[in-house]
Amino acid sequence: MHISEDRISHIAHKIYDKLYNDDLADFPDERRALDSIKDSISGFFSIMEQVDQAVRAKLASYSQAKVPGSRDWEILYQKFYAEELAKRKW
Amino acid sequence: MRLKEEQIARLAEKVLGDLECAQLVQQKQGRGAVLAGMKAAIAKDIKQEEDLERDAEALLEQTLKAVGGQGIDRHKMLKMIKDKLAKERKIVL
Repeated sequence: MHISEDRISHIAHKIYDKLYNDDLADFPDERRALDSIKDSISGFFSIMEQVDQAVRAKLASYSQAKVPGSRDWEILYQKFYAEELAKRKW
Repeated sequence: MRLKEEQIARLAEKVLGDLECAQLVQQKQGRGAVLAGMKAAIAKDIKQEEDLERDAEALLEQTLKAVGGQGIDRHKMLKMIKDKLAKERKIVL
């Protein structure tokens, strides 16, 4: 799942603005808080990408390989995806 | 970008957890409210992107119908329409 730097920055600002404007939170250091949010989003998608690649590799090497996009493939993808997340304690 | 509800929840949890670890946030109405706010902000943005993609597909079909669709690079045209809609709607893709 690819996500651009601009999109990460955009979502980070949306989160920050929502919390600030709805009076849900204050940020003692605006710059660092925004950078932290961006890093978290970036890290999240990086892990999602790694999990996706690991699952696809596992599916491709599966002895009864399924056709990508088929219902069987989707079911196995979800199963392996959940296993991969659990393996990473995520 | 498509995210399921549980993925949005996980992302919000990570963002807040990292802010807390670095002591960069003061939560004024409790952790649950902050998490709910984050999830709402992420979900709203993703919904806008999904709406844009749906509208862009519809506009592409209309355009192809109007001009006959011959010699048109569908992928390139879709990207142009999406970029135009994103600019109009102030969405960053």
